[in-house]
Amino acid sequence: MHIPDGWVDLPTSATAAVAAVVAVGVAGRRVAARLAERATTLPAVLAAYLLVAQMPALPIGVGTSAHLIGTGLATALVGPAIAIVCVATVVVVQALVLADGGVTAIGLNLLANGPAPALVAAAVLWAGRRWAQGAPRRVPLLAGIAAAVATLAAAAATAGLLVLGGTDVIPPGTVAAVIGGAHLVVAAGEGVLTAAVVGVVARLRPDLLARVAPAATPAERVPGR
Amino acid sequence: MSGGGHGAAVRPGERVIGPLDRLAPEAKLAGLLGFLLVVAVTPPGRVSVLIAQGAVALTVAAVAAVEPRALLRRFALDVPLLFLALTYSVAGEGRRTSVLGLSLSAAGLQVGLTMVAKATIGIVAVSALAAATSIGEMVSGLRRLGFPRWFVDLVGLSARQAGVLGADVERLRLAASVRLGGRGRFAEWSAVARALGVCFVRATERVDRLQLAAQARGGTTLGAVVVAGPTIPAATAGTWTRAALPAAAALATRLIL
Repeated sequence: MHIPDGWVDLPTSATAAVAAVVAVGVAGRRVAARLAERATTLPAVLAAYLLVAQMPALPIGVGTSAHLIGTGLATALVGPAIAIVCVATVVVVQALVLADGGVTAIGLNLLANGPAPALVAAAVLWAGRRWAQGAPRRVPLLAGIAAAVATLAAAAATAGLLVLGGTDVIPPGTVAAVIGGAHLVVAAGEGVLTAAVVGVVARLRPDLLARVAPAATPAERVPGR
Repeated sequence: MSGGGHGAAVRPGERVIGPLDRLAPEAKLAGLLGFLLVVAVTPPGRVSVLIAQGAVALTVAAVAAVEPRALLRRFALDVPLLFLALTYSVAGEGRRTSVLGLSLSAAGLQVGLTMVAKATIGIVAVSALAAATSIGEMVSGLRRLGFPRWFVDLVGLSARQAGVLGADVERLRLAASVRLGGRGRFAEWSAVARALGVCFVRATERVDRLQLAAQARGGTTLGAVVVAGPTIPAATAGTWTRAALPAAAALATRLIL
């Protein structure tokens, strides 16, 4: 869920915007150093991929549908730095072109959907790297778990920002419980879909998955390089 | 963007060139931000102010010739917010009030409805900007507002690539779902997963093609990758004033009503 305009007070939004600029700046530098001349094309195409990946609506029952969020998937495929830069691009396009998420809330949505889930997903992938090493079947599973946990991290960050800069007519615990509860289902779906997508990529181009399965290829590899 | 054609029927998806389209994009972006900031600080429960600010947003959207159907589709983004507003109303603290036989928190209801109203105004306002501004113009506006070039390039290139990849994913999903046969939930999920997996591999190939094209144009620097569309002259004092009108109107409603 994206935070719209007018839900979080301006001091919190402005602080989040500053923090987001710093986070994206740091990630951008890492991307520029790692990708050199591909520092625009690769993240741009991947951001487009994330925008597109969010489009197909999937039935989850009781008349509701979900869609992929993709930060966990991007982290599994290309690492947290590129993922953060891609999500930043996605959040800006969504806010300015698709009216999804507030313009005054860009900093908030960027923090909650970029650095927070990307770093958590990276931590999960790092913690599970031994477990997935040399076991190709575990690679999609690990990516799925990382994506599910990352989704919960994004939900927690969103709830935290809503509580920090929101209204006090409702106890913080209730906001966290409602947003967290709703995202349990979303997180499960995100995990399943991410695992399935990574499974397809693993079958087609295992070399692109060097990040999740370090044993698959000798050197750290970035797609398209 | 075939200009002219006044009076002729507009094909779906075709851009109508109105007064808002000719404004410099940086002024439009700043004007939108100013308007939304004024709306954001409207205190909860100022119903007449919110209605007036909504009317300002709708007027701008009408000038920008936003398609009503596109606007209605975007209001679907409000649905999760309605649930959250409902939570505020049910679980809010303080005095209770009765609405349709439900006991709700008066303050929670007020805050919840105000937030939904502000989110809706935001959707209308952004739709107006998006309808009257091409991606290329948006990119040059962001650049003139001082956004770093590398990031602005990313936004421009990815917005254009999204169209290409989107069509690709839709085709792949259709093909996969035809082959998978079944109509169940599992088949639908598998089809989407397969389409997205294949699309990722193709996306990495696209990166190579784009890189090749950039090199052919004779540059490997960031700027060489993105070529902006037709440029609109930079904003003058008059442009800034006109772009600030919605924000000024929103502020006036706050002070008068």
